[in-house]
Amino acid sequence: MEAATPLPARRLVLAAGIVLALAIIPLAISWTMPFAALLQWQLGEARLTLLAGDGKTANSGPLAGATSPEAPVSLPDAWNKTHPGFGGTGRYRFTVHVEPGAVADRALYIPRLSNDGALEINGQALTEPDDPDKAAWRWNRPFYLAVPAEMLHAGDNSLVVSVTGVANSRAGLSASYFGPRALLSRAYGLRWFLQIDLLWIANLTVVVLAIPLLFSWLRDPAGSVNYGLFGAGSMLFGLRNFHGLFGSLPMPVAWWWPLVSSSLGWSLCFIFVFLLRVCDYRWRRFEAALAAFAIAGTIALFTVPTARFMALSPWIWYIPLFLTGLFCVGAFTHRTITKPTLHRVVLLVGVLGQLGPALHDILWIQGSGSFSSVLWMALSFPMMLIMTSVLLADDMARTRAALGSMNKLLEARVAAARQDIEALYESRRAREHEAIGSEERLRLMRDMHDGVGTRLSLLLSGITRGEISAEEVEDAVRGSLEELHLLIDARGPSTATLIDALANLRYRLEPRLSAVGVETRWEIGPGADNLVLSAETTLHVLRIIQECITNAVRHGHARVVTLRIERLDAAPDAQGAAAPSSVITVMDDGIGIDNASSATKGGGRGLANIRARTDALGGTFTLRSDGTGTLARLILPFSDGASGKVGDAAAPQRDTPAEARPVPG
Amino acid sequence: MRLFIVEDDPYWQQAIQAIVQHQPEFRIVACCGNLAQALRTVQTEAFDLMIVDLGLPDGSGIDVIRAARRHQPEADILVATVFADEGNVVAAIYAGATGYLLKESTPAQWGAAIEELRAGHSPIDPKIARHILGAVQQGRAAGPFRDRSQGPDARAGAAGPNDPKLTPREMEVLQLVAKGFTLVEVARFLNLSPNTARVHAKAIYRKLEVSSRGEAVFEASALGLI
Repeated sequence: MEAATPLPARRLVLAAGIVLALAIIPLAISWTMPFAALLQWQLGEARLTLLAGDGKTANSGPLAGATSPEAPVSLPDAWNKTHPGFGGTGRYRFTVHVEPGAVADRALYIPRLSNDGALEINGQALTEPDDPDKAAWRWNRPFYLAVPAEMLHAGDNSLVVSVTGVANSRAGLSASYFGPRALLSRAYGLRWFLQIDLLWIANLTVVVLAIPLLFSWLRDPAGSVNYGLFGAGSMLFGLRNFHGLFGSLPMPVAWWWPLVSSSLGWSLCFIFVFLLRVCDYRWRRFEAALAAFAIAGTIALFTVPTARFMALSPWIWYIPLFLTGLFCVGAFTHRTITKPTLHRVVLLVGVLGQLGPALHDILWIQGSGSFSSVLWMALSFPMMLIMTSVLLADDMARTRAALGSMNKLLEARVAAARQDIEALYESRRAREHEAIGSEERLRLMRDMHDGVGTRLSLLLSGITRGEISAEEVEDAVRGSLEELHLLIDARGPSTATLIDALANLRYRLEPRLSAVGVETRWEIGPGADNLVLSAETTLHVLRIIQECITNAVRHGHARVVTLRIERLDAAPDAQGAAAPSSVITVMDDGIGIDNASSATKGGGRGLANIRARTDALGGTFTLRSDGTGTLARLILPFSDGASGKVGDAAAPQRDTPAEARPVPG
Repeated sequence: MRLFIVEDDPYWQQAIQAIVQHQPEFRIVACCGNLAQALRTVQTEAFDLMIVDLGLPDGSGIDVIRAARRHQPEADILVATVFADEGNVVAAIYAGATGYLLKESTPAQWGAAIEELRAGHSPIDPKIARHILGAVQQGRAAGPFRDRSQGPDARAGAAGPNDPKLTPREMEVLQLVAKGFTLVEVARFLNLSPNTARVHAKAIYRKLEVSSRGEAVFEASALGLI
């Protein structure tokens, strides 16, 4: 098996070593038991008198009516076997020979005295001095009494052990010993440890170890179903085994024995299914059949007449269980040999370690085994559970380690992905930047060609033909410079919003205007901060506004020019989209258009230009003028504060709620 | 007042000379046509006002500004520029310039600008204000934000040293100027005297210059700014 195992040999050796050490324990105990020394003190043949009674009262004294004549009997004497269905008191009478020098050193040791008993030496009742031992239900408690010297005399003495037993309750008397106190006391101590102390420890261990298994199943009911099954089986097993420590019968025998028997079967059934599942045998029908057997068997146990219980229960319950267990262990063994894993190998060793004790105990229950014997399975089972717990801990440690490395892997992947995304983002940004840049350059070139270029070429041709005056040259050059300034105002690196551009324009015009005594006022309405137009549109807007301001000063003779930017949130249109607009107002306190002298009017070409530009932008331009001033208002749709982008000329221009608001006069 | 002129174009040299000739208190102590000459002269010649063109045939006028600031910490340095584009002007401010002027300005505007400068008033336009605000805010947001978006190697140092510790009032002035308000209006909004508002600009410039001292720091900030 180990040769076929792909696991590290060291682990297997370790596991095998642990199992071996655990398996040796019972052997070592039996070695330390002073069997040989005890044998010579074993009580020989007894004469038994059976006194019928309900058996519940421990003091069915010797005066109770005898139902059977005194007959020779050899120990151990299990009533289920020798006197089936009998309940009452059995008086075992021995004759013991005491050497004169040993009168003060005699004790009685009875490994199993079930259900209870009393002693008489030479017709005198011998009572137990220790209260704790005075249990009415002591089927699993050893019995030890030092016989006082004054009750004995040298030579033959009469010793009577009265055993009180409930019918069908595994009553009886085990092999008994009468001899030196020290030797018997030691044997008794060991027996007490095995049957009482160790049982406590084993049961507690089982229950405690089953808890983490159950929790691991609760956390992950689907994934840890194996641990759940084993935990449930173990928990049940550990709890029901406490019955060996009961000092009194908690309920009528008719209920007690079926409960004790069925709980063992149920716990074993859980463990059988667990064994099969560990082998990856998912035999639904077998599992269902096992469940059906457990249910039917339990019902049968509870319905069997109590008088027949001890005779029938092995056949309807224990032996089928044992055979099923053998089958499951066989399947498990086969699977472990053909497909070994660490878990299976370790478990197999533990399971095989259970076979001996199980066989021993079933024989005891059935009656074939020695009535005197200790029940082993309750003591050996924790071994298997400890192994399973170790496996669970190993599982958890591995899982955690795997999780840790998985986390690292994931973190590394996330980091790599983030880098990729950042690189992608960076390159895309660079590409977009480049695209915007080239688009910007194209527009800049077009603007320069249309504006400055045209002006300068006209100027050049005028100069070469000698047709223009110095003033005209100065005007043309100034105009060209003005064009360039406008370009920069509209699209400098720090110019992002409409307000930025208009602020640039205002700052540039302000000294000139104040030099001729014109005051500018600057108003920013709510929501106007983030109005963004494409650079091209912005340039158009700046030209329009500059023209308006020029008109106000040149034609209207204004003293105060107010520039106002607002955001106008129009009512939602048919599509439900609210289309906000930028509204730029140029207000002056001039004389009004109508009053402007025709000499300065210039035939209205400026206004026509403004309207043409406004149409190109899809906006609305309105002009209100009277004798006290002029109000020019430019309304532009598609302002987009959210996008925050400059140069967004490609953005589709939404249709405007095209009507201009009435201009306040 | 002693004037130091750094200008490579003979036409502009003459133009500037012509402009300052109107002011009897002005005396031109040096007129350099290239970077090397200017760097040499600036070590020996004392002056009160430097007028410097950034585009020199053998380098940038910014180097001259920095050298001038080292040798004459109290002098005013005026950058003559055609378009007052924020990239160049702010770089000059970081080097130590306290003012700038459009070359196309009239002689009267030149005179007024110089007088203002001597009175402690630096000019500041919306573009420059926005640029400074942007640099300062980027500097404050420096650390993690920049590192994440640009990687640890790129420009991490650009904004860090650029935090010129502007006062809240100075930030307010910058923000209002950035939106197009004149210093007079700013003073009105903030309940300051117009003079105080004008002095703020120069204080800001000096803080920017101080915050960018040191070659490496300057290079980095110039990278981050331009």
